[in-house]
Amino acid sequence: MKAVEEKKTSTERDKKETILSVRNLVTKFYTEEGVVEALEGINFEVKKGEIYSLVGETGCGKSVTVKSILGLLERTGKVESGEAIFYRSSTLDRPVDLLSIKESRIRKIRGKDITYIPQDPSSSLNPVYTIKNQLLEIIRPHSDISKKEALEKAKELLEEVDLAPPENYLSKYPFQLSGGQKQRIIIAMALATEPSLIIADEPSTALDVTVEAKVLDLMEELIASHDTSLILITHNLGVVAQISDRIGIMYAGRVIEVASTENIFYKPYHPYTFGLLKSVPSIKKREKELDFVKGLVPDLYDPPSGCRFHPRCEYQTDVCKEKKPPYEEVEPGHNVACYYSKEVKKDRREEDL
Amino acid sequence: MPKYERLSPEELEVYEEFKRKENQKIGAVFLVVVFVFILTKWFLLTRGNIDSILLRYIGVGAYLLFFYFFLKNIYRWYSDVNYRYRANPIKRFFNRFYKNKLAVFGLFVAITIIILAVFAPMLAPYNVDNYQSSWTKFSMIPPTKRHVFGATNAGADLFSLCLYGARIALTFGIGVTAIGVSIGIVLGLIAGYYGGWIDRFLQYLNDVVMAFPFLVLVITVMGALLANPALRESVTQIGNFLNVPGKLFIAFVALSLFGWTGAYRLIRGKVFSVREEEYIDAAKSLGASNRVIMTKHILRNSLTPVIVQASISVGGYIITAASLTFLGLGANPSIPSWGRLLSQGNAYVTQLRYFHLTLFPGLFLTMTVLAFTTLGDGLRDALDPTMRRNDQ
Amino acid sequence: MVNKEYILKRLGLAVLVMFGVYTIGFTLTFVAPGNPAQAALGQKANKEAVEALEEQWGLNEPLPVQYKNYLINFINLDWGESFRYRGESVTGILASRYPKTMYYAVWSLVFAIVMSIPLGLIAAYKQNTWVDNLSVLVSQVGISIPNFWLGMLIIAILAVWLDLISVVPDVPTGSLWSFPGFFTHVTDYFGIIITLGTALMARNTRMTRSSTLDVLSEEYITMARAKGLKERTVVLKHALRNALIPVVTSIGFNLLLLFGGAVVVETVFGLNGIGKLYIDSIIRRDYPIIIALLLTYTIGVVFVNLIIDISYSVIDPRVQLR
Repeated sequence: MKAVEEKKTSTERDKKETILSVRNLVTKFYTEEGVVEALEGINFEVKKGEIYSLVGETGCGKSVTVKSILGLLERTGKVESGEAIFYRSSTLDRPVDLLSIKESRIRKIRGKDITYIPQDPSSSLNPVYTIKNQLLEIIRPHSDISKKEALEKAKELLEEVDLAPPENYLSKYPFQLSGGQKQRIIIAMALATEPSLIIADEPSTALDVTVEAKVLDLMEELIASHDTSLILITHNLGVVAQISDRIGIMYAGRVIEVASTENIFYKPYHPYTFGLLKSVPSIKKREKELDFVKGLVPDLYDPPSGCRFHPRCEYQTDVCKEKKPPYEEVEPGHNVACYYSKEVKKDRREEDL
Repeated sequence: MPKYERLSPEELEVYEEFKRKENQKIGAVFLVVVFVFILTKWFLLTRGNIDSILLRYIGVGAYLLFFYFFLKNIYRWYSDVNYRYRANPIKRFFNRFYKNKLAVFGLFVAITIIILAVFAPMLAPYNVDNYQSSWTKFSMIPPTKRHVFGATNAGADLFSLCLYGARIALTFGIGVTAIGVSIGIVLGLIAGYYGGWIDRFLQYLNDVVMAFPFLVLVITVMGALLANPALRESVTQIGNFLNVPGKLFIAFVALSLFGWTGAYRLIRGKVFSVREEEYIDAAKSLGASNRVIMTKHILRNSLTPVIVQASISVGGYIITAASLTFLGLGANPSIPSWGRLLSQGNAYVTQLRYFHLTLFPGLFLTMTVLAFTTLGDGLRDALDPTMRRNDQ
Repeated sequence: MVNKEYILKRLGLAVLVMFGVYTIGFTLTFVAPGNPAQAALGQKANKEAVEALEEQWGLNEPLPVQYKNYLINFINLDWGESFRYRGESVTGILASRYPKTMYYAVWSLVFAIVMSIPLGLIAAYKQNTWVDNLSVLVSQVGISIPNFWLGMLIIAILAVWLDLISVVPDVPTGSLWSFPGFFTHVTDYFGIIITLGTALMARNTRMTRSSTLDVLSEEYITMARAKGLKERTVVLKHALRNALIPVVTSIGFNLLLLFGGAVVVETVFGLNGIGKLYIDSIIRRDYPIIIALLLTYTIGVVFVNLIIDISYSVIDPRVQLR
C-alpha cells in the first residue's frame, strides 16, 4: 500500500479546475431481446492533470460510460439523458455538452482534445495500413502542419513511448509487432494531438503482467509530462492503487462512491466498496478463505428496483428496494450513494482494513 | 426454477387466458372453413355441377386464412411476452425467425409448394397423363377462366402441369440434398477422424470437384451416362427397381454424385476445430469413446450449419435440375417439369401472345427457389446470428 | 515482396487440380464411347471406314494409352481435330468461340462488381433501413432466379415487347476486342450481360454486405472514429478495404459461375460461344473439344486466381507472411 501513501497530497488537486463533468448520464441499449438499462445516472468529474479511475466488475457499464461520452456507442445504444460538459475545447471557447452537440463538432473534439486508448491493442489497429499511415491520420487533420513536419512529430512520439529507432516501426504493419509495441503505438496516437483528456479503457488487460507494469509506468510518466488528465477504466484494484489520484467505484450502471484513492482504500462508505476491499488478498491477514461479495452481477435486462445493489447487500432494508439512494457528500470530496454509509463506517472501524 | 418462468401468478393467468382464446379462435376458423368447404362441394354435387372453379377459390381462400391464423398464433405464442423468454433458446429462435419477414414468406411458400406437390393429383383440375399427345383446339390458348394459366402447344392445362412440375422439382431439390448431405457428413467425419492421406485425398477430390462449375460437371456426367449403353442400362435397371423412370434417375445420380462437397467441408472443418476444444479433452479423459465424441459432440455441434446449408442448397439443386431439363438432358420428356415447360416457352419466346408458357412455370420455379433460399437465410439468422456467412 | 515459395506451392497445387480435372474429364468422355466415329460418318457408313476413322483418331488404342497420349498431345499444344466438324482443328474452333463468351463475361463481371460493392457497403452501413432491406431482397431474388428464365424475360420484355435491344447480337467477333468496339458493342450484348451479371451481382452484394457488417463491428473502426476522422474516411478508408478482401478472393469463383451460366444462357440467346459449344460437344460426343474446353477454362480460372493471390498482398499485407 506504499503507492497509496504517496498519493496523500492528492487532496490538493481537488481545488483545481474541472475539465469534464458528467451529470445524470443515462444510456440504454435497445436489443432485439429487450432493453438493457446499462447506465442509470452517472455522475463524476475529472480535474485538470489528475488520473481518475473508474473501477467495477465486468458488465457494470465502465466502457459504456466512456463510449457514451465520446459518442462511440454501437448502433443499439442510445444516450437517453444527462450531460457531459467539457470545459477545455480548443476549437470553441465555451464549455460544450458532448452529449448534445452536433456530430461534426464532436468529431473536432474527439481525437484532438479528448483521445481514446482502447482495450485490445491488437484489434484496434487497422491490419491493412502501416503504422505511419495510422499515426499521420490523427496528427494531420487536427493541425495545419505539412506532411514532413507531421512525420517528424510521429518520430518524436514513437521515441517518447520507447520505440526507438522510430524508422523501424513506421513502415511496419500491425501484425509485425507485439502486443506491448502495439499498445505503445496507441499511446503515442493518444498523445499525438496534445489532448487535455485521455480516456483509457482497460489499457493493460490484454497484455502480459510484465508488459502491463511497463506500459502503466510509461502512461503515468507521460500523463505527468504532457500535463493532461486521464480517465482510467479498469477492474484491477492493484492498477488503481498504483497510479490513480481519485477513484469512482461503479456498480450496475451507477457510480456509487467517489473519493480520493486513499479514502477509497482506507475509508470506504459503500457496502460494495467495503466488500470489494475485503476480497483483496492481503499478506497481513493470511486467511484460509477470501471474503467475497456474495451473489452475482444483476441482469440489466431486468435490473433490481431501488438501489441495484440491494439483493447482494448485508445492510439492505425496505427503503433500498423502493428508492434509489441519493448521491451524498459524506466527507469533503467523498460522495456515496447509500442509505447506510454510517453503518458501514462503524463496521469498517471494527474490521480494521 | 428456469429463468423464463418468472411471470407473476396474475400475469400467468392473463397469459393463459390469452392463449386459450387464441386457440379457440384458430379452432373456430378451421371448423368454419371445413364446413363451408364441404357444404359448397355438396351443394355443387347435388346440382349436378362439378365445375370446381368456385371450390378452388374457396379452397385457396381457406388455405390462406388458415395459414395466416397459424402463423399469427405461433408468433403470438412465442413473441408477445418475448423478453422474459430471453433465456430459452427455442423461443428466442422463434422470436428471431418470425421477425424476419422474408423468412416467414419463404416458410409459407415452401409449405405451400410441398402441399401442392403432394396433393397435385387431387388439386390439378385436368388430367396430364398424355399432356404431350396431340394438337387440339386448346393449343396455346392464353389464360382463361377454365385454364387459369392457359394451355401448352399440345393443349394441356398449364396450371395442372405446373402443379405436377412441383413434384419433380421437390424430388430433385430435397432428394439430392438429402443424399448429398449424408455422403458429405460421412466423408467429412472420415476425413476429420482418420486424417493423414485419406484426408488429403478427400480434400484433393473436393478441390477438383470445386474446380468445375456444378452444372458443367453434371452435364458431363449426364452425357457420359447417356452415351454409354452399358452404363445407361445398368443405371436404368436400378431406377426401374426403385420404380423411377430411367433418365430421371440418371439425372438424380449425376447430381447426387457431386452434391456432397458443401456438407463435407462444413463437417471436416468442424471436426478439426472441435478436436482442439478443451471439452473434447475433458470428454476423453472421462473415458468417452471416439464414436461418442464423433456423434455427440461433433455432429450435434455441426447440426445448425448443416441444416442451413441444406435448406439453401435445395434451391440450387432445383435450379440445376431445371437447367438440365431445359437443355434436354434432365428428366424424361413424359414427366411434366418446369424446365421442360420453359424449354417449350423458349421456342415461342419471341411471340408475346405465348408469353404465358414462359411466365407461369418460371414464376413457380423462381418462387420455390426463393422460398428455400430465404428460409435457409432466416434459419441461419435465427439459429445463430453470429454464424459467418458461407456465401460460396 | 511476394513470397516465392508460396507462389510455387500454389502453382504445384494448381497443376495437381488440373490433373484431376483432366482425369475426370477423360473418364467421363472416353470411357463412355457413344461411338463418335459412327456418328461422324453417319449410320450408313461401312464398317471399314468407321474403323479407319477410329484408328486415325486413336480410339482403337487401350484406354490407358489414350489417356497418356492425349495428355502429352495437349501439353504439346497439339489438340487434334474436332470429331464433329471434320477437318477443323480444335484450336481454331476454340479461337473462334472464346472471344465472344469472354467479351460478355468480362462485362458481366464488371456489371456485377460495379453494382454490388456500393450496394453491399451502403446496406451494411445503414443496417435495417430500407436500403438494407432492398439489398437483401435484391440479392435473394438475384440468387434464386434461374438465369435462363431471366434471359427469357429479358428477351420477351426488352427485346420483343419494348424493342429496346436485339435478341441475337450479330457482331463480328474481331470487332468485340478492338478499341471502340469493346465499348460500343455493350448495347448489343446488353441482355446476356444483365442476365449473367445478375446472379453474380446478387452473390457479391451479399458477400460485401456481410463482410462489411463484420468489419464495421471491429475495434479499429471504433478507434478510427475515436481519432476524430470523418465518417467518409472511416468507411471508405478503414472499412471498405478490409471488407473487399473476401469479395476479391471470390473473383475466381465468379468466373466458374459465369462458365456454368454461359452453358445455359447461350442456348436462350442463341449465341455461339463456348457454353453452346460445350453442350453440343457433350451431346455429339466430340471428345477433343470437351477436354480442351474443360482444361483451357480451368487453366484460365487457375491463372486468374494466381494473379489475385499475387496482387492480394496489395490489399492485405498480412498475406506476405504465409
